[in-house]
Amino acid sequence: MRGGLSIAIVALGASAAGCVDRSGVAGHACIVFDIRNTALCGAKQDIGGLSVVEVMGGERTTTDADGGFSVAIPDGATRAVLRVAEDRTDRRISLIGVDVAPTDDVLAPVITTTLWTTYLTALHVEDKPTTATVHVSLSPLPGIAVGGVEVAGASTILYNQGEAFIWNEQPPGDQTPAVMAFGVPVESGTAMVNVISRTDEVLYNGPVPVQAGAITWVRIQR
Amino acid sequence: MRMTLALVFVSLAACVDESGSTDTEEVTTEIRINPRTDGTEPGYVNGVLCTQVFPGALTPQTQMYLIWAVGTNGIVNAPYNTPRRPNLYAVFGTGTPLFETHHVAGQDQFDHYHVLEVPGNSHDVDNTTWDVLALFPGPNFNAATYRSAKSVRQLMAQSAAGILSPVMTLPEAGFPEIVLRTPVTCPRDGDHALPDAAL
Repeated sequence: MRGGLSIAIVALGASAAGCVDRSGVAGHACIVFDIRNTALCGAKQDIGGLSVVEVMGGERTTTDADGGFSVAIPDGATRAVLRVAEDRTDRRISLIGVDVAPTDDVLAPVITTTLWTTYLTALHVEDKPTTATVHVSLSPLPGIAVGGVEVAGASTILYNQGEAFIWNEQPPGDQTPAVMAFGVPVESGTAMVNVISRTDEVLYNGPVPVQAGAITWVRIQR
Repeated sequence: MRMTLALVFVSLAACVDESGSTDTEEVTTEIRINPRTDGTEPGYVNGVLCTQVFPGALTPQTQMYLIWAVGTNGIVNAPYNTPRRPNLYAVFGTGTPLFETHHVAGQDQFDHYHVLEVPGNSHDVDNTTWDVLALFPGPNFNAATYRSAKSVRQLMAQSAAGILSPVMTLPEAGFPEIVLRTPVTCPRDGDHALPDAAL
């Protein structure tokens, strides 16, 4: 990966389950309204009381009224996977991979079941509960345009074309704010994601956690 | 000097009884807008682009609903989505022109336009409190050809045709419930009204 482009995301990897000390990850959940940008949270969203589970160590907590949470991770773990809203039928389950190192403000996007269904219907995407969805959002990367995205086994990959409800199977001519991969197999628990720029720069390359019926949110930013 | 813009709308409704004689009824609606303190947003009422007023929205005392300043008394403490209260429909994600869009600087993702439920084809809006509901593009939405719905009838037709989604409550979209207080003024005599067949 090219130096200077820090990727705040995911990757499954080493974990030492069991021995949990005081270390952990903290962050806040955010209701996704405009699926192009998962980081724009409105105030006073209905974001409290959502379950947050650190998958590897099994620790769990719930979000406070503002969506904030803090959850312990296994001692020595360098990465964590958060599963959010697994206890709510009116929210889709979110998976977020976390680099543990500087993680005191992990963003955990969550979308309502109704709005997610609305997006899928509008985009003519079939909701297959036995597969996963991987959503990749790109914070503005000045001068960098996405050339292509690969998500292992995905049946459909859609690139946002600028407007919230305009997505196509090819990257737009200018910047791509978000990409969604549907029908991702879940058998291995992870899916390889490769994002390259139009100049063949690797923007992200690594595994992300996947689970049947869940949305894995990946965010690439400087 | 306090700048107060008083908009007085007088509508003359001509009624014909069985004898064929004409009777004239005068209905007056007066809503004062102070451009220094009150916010306004466009909203369609039976084919006419009217103005929703949010008194005090430009003052520090305004209440906020998510990113929107709704005025000092914009949030009504009442049960949400009750059958007798008229609806205010907010349509998101359609990319409509700015003149009919509720836009907040830097918050394009929340752009939407309004359609208000007023009985009949009237443009005299006496009601001031509304249940807010939401719609989004549907499976047959085409951004290149889409034209905003200018009445509830058009809105429901677009929804039924899959151009827009089914009507959604705010919690279904992840927003908190709100009963919104906003008086509405419409142009006199519906100057910009569409032909009835288009409603």
